[in-house]
Amino acid sequence: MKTKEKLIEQVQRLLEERSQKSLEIAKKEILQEKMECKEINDAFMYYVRNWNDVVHPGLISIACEAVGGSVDKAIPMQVVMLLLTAAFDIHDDIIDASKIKYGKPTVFARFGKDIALLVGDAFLMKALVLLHKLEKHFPTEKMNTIWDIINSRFFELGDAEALETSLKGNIDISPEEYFQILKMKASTFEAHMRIGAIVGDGEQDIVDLLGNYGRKLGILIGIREDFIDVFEPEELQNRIKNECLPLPILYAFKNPQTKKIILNYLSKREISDKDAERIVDIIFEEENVEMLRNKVKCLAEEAYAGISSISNRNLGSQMEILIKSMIEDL
Amino acid sequence: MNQKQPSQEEITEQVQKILEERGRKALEMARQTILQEEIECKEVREALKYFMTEYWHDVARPALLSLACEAVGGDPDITTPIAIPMTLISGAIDIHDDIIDQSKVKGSRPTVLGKFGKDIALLVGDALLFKGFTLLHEAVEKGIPAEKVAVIINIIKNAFFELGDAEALELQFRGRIDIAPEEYLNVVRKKAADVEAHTRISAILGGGSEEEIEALGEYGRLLGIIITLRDDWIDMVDFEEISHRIKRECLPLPLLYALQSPKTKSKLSYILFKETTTKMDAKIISEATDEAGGLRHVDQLMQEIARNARSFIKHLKKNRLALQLLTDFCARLISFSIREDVNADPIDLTINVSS
Repeated sequence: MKTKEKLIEQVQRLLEERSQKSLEIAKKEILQEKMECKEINDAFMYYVRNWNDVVHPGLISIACEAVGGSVDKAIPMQVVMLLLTAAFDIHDDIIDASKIKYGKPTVFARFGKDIALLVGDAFLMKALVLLHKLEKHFPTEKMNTIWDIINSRFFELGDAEALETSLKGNIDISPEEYFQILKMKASTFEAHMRIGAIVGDGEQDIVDLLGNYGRKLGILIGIREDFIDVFEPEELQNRIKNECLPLPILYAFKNPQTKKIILNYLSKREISDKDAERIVDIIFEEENVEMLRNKVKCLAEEAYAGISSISNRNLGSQMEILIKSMIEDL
Repeated sequence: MNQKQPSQEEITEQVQKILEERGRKALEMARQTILQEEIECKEVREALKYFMTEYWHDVARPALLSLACEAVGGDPDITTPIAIPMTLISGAIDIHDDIIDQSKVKGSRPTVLGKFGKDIALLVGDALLFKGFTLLHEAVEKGIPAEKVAVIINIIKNAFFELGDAEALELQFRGRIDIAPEEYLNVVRKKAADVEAHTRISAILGGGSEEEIEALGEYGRLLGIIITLRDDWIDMVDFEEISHRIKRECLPLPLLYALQSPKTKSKLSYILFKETTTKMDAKIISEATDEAGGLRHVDQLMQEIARNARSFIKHLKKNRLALQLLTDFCARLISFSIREDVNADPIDLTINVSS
């Protein structure tokens, strides 16, 4: 248990150090936009107060340093990507009807769909305008590549969201099909790693290597979040209603008997804590879920192998810790 | 000598011709560009295709860019690399706006929201916004100087935020009959930021002087206000639209003016708070608005703004007449009595000047 705590704390500290500056700037940037409508200003303030995304800017910083670049050079790009990720996060909550995240009401829950839509748009616009402003700081060729990465990877994310939307409420979806969506959703993590490496002047082969690492890490993050949702009755109910079922449940559904039992619980109007505990037990005892665990292990191994050639050992071990923290307890 | 005034049909025909000639190319290029994107999700692909090929026929915005650029002595073709992204960005705003207003049908066509639902509409709007900005980045390669692109992007951003602010303020007007016309006009003015951005940007692209850029900016803002007021006027005589405005949006300006009269307010309050609006209700609302002078008031306001708008374009090098015609077209439509037409077929105003 102690080791676990240490690992999570370690990852948190590692990412915080790399993200704090950019997070502060991003907050200032969005709060600079003064609107006449009080609700929008309040919604900006609300999001900013709870905004603590250290993962995305942290990845840019790690990738930049891994190729020998200065972490400070990556800050403006971290700010852009923070805003961009926030925009999609806010819009995603509208689509998924997510009312609670990390224990706090989302902008959607607190201010409603319309304000959340406008706030997401504002973040998106702000991000894209700031990205244009970076044209002065980076050579044209580099900026072209960055635009290209952002365009293609965020289109992929939107595509994944849309595919997921079309599968809402479908309990017969195969785990492989949903895994494909998780893979597509991991595109933004790949984008962050690639961009960090480009900003740090990395060669194409290392940019690709770090991009692949980012994709694998993104998939692992997605799977981990799916495992966590199995433990949260409220979140689980939202997943049933507004999203796809978490991956471990879909794996467990490979066994028709288990599927029948779990569906009995899921069809209840309200899932009690006791029901949730039972679902967890059933899932964790299910052989097919073991297949998922093995898949996770393989992905982690591939991610470790991919970064073994990183010459900066300190950075390499930081990247290993990130992967390790994602597979702990699964 | 008495010169015969052109009829509404003649003006419509001329305006349509100008807008088609000036705006069609950029609209087509915008369509081609966005439809090239490789998208796995069939629904998003179909929604994008539907929006760009069957729904979005906005030739007015790219035409305005072309006209205003030439008006300050610029080559209208240089506006194309900016007109394409701006077409996509305007489309994105329109789609997201429909989600907020829950507009499922516009004119006779279902919106993306109406046809594909909220989630797909949201994602399609995001995709258009994203693509629009990526294309603005590419405008430099297409010959627009980088420093001009930077200024243009700032104008687009400010307009976008002003529009968002207007949308958010308008949300507070839903279901209310006590909105002061001035309060609503403040929102209308903010909404006109979009048209101002177009005329201002084109003046910059055309190499206009500071005065010309300012004059065209002011003209665009006023034209934008006229367009919204025109829509408000038309909504008063369209059953579907007036019902939607009562239920989901802000009441149109003629009605807000009419409700300033305590007599009209007491007559209409009951109808305006009803769950559903019938055709008979719509007729009563329209007639009472007319009787209280709400329509005339908005008509006069539009004429006054149009006169003001014309004063900003009188010193332009070229296209004064075309821009004047466009202003007249938007401001001059209302020359018939509502009592005769409230039950008639919808007015044929096929040019999509506003979104």
